Amino acid sequence: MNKINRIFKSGINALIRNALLSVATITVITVTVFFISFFYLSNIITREIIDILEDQIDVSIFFKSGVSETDILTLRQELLSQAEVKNAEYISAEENLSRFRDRHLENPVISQSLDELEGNPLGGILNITAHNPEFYSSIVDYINNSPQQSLIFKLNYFESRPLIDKAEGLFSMVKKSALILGAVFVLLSILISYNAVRLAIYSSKKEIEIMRLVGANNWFIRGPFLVQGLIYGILGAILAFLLFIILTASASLRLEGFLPDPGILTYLKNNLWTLISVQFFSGIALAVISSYISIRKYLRV
Amino acid sequence: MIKFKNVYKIYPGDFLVLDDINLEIEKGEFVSLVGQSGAGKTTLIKLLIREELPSKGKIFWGSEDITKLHHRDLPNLRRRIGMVFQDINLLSQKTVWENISFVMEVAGRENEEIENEIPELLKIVGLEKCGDKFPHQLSGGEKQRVALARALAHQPDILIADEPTGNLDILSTWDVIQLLLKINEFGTTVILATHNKDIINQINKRVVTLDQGRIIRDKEKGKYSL
Repeated sequence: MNKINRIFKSGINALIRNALLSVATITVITVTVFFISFFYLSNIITREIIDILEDQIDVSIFFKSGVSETDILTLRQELLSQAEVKNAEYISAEENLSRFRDRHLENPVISQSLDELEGNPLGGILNITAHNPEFYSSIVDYINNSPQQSLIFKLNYFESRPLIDKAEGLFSMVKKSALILGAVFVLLSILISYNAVRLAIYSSKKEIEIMRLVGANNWFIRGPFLVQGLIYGILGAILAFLLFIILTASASLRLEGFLPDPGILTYLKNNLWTLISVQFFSGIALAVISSYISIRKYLRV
Repeated sequence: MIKFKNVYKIYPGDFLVLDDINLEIEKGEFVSLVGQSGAGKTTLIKLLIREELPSKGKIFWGSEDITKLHHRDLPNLRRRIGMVFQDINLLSQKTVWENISFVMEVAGRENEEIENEIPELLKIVGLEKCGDKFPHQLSGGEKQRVALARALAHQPDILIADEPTGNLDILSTWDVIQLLLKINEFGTTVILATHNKDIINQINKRVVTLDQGRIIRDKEKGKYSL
């Protein structure tokens, strides 16, 4: 216990006495942790936005007028039993007509024409959502080969296929590039951080050698540097967190409208604890591991 | 107590620094190592504190061959040695008090012991009022006296001083030498490496003379002659 107290005291003293170097190192670690958390959160947001956009893509089956609800619901049941299908929303012929009327309330010609017709000219609709845009073509194949195929008036897949294909390619590209760019930036900032810690320890090279020569064992020398690393990491994480909150709050106003609901602050709120854990873990691990590696070569005396 | 047996040190490029050194030092002796710069004095000391290994030969501390020590056992060896360097080598980020307490802490001494002994050590070297000062606030002579206090804090079996007066003025030089003699009187073995003729001639102790890596003379109560 006495030994641990001495190591902590020595580490804290060194940190305070080398205030300028400590501030510089903490700043570099803050920036690194900020980058790590930025790419972590932007990765989550990108995935969630892509999920939302993917949910907005669907295939609609328009049934012929007069097709019974039982037939439509049978096909719905069969589709839902397919692994690729996420959801199949049923809109009855009556609901379809009512929505159609609502959409064209301001067009008296359409309203009058509908009034003059006997019965409902529109059929029911099934809106199919897949777990992944790639699955739509196999779902469409399944529908085309089903016994209810003759009941279908129109399948909008072929009209929206170019859009679906484009979206699919775009999503996969966005996911990949976010990951690669993130990894490169994070790696670069880790290297910069490691070098900052290395420089701080290099400045104590002579002292480390003297400590060895007066009989200190490696842990007694290494300990205070690891304590400094720990404090660098904790302070770096706290500062990165504050910086992140301030910048996200100000960016959320500017990004409103660009990003789909629920907005960047909600993403942040939903992932707050994970973000804090990532920041503290990365800050502390970065500083402590860098210190551990950097000091090693000076302990060979 | 210490025995160098057929010790050679050859640096890369076939640079022979120590050539067949055979030397015995008894407990409680005061031995001066003399010789011109490059004679091999510092290398001999580096071998003794295991800062370096000999190219050939053995070095015994009692019955233990210290050239065979594992790296992790070096702190134990060095805690038995008090070391005073020419360039002083105080820890610049620590106060005088902390410089001394550091070596006591690494040896696992209790806080109470440290609190009691440091004032005594500072008194021996005449720096009672300098405990809170940092090395850069001291003169060269004061720094070397702190280094002596630090070397004594180990309660070492042997104290090695490598050119301890090399950077000091005459008054500080004699202060340091008087302290070394006093420490030796208490029973600690002292090895002093120097090329200061006046010191050697005044103290009248054993003198081992090195020249081009060889021991060319070893005299009890010797004088400085090359």
